[in-house]
Amino acid sequence: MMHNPGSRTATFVFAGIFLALSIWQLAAGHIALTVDGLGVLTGAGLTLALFSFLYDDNPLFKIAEHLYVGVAAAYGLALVWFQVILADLVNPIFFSTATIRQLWVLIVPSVLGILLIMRIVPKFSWLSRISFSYVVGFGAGISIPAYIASQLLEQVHPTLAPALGWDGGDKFILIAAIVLIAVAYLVSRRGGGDLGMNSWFGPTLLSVVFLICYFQGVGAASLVLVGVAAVLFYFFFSVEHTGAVGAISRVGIWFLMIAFGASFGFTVMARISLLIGRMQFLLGDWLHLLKI
Amino acid sequence: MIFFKRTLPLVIAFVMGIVAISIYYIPHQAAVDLNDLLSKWDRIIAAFAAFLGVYSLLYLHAGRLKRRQAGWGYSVFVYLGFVVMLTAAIYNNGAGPLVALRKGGAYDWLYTNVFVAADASMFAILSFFIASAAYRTFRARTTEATILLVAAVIVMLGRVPIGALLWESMPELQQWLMNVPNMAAKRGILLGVYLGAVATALRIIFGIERSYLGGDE
Repeated sequence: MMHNPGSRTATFVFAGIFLALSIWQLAAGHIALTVDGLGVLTGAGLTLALFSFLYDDNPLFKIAEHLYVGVAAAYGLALVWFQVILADLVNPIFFSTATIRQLWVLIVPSVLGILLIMRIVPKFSWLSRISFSYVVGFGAGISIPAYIASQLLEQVHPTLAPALGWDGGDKFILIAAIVLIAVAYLVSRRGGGDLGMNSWFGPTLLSVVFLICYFQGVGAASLVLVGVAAVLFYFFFSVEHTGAVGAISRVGIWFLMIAFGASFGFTVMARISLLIGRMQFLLGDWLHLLKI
Repeated sequence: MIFFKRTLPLVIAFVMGIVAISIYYIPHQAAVDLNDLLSKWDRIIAAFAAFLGVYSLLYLHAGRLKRRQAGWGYSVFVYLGFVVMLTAAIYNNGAGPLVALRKGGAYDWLYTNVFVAADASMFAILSFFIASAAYRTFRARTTEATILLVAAVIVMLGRVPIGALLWESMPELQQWLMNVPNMAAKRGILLGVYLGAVATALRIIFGIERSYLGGDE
């Protein structure tokens, strides 16, 4: 690792920055050597060590990364202990006034849990299959009606609402979307069967439709119906995507691209807000340069 | 022995699957109580699985230390972080591990100053890598790439004050983009995903899908 010059530079520069600025803050009396003060220094050190990866991979980053993994594992284990094992198993069995008849129901998960742990003993690892089969079987069973009810029927109902006349808004957007599909079909025909992947006409028209929809402020449900139908067409591979099917699936691709772009933008902004939080911590809590 | 190793797990998965489906459709208090009980069992067994996961992590790093594998020194820090945090959790601010988690103390200190700081920093540096990847891939070479780029820019600008400064309706537009075309596409994808999930669940219940039993099945 340290044979890499970039790695060596990153290590010394970031360690130097952290030490110099921490000593300055301590000397200036902004940070005291108390539990809270040491907490700020630890947080700042870890943040800088992890940010040092932006320059190059280096030992500081690796140390912080591995420390984080260890702490996260113990944190997860502690949560499981206090919230599940202690609350649902240990306390009812050892520290409650429940009778044996009330406690027998806890014997089954305890035995299955111990069988699960047997996975680490090679000779008896097959015993863990019994516990896994309970978890997997129960999980599969519970998910089927839940998915059908909440993820399929509850999604189909509002999607089909405009087609069944429940939109309650202007039908203009539905007509516009149908016109768009017809135009896309004509464009694909003009390309001699080619879907016209680089044609500017269709997407431009789609964006115009979106803008009209936006300014009208009505008929959004109709657009959702068109989008869902088009995306489903795109994922329907049992027929060749040419002609009308190709044109509709083309519209589906545009919807997918908008969704991917929106998801990307959303993810970036979530990460940026975390970055802003870390910068506020470094410049405010650690260096006292920000007055919030 | 083959009965215990293969047949019994498949029978348990089938019975539990059918029971779980049935209780959903039985409108009776007994079914609700059974569902609560089985869910509680499921939660307890899954908690034991967390111990298995931690064992697996520590076993992996113990192997690295034992074999003096490249970068083995970093594995010491995994153990260091784990032992210190676990000790703080067991100490539980002087109350011990047999009472509910107490606020304050070393456990809270480590959570705030190590776990949260490292967690937020780790995900914050991803913003740089996402931006770098976007710069390389978001070239508006095709229509589809252009649509993706425009949607991403609208959503990003619409969520910061400069977006509203450029165009006052930008936040509203990005919200509309998220709620309408984005939701349409997501719904189209998710309908397929959940149909697949239901099909996979049925395969598990009927013993067609057996990968959870281990590699030799």
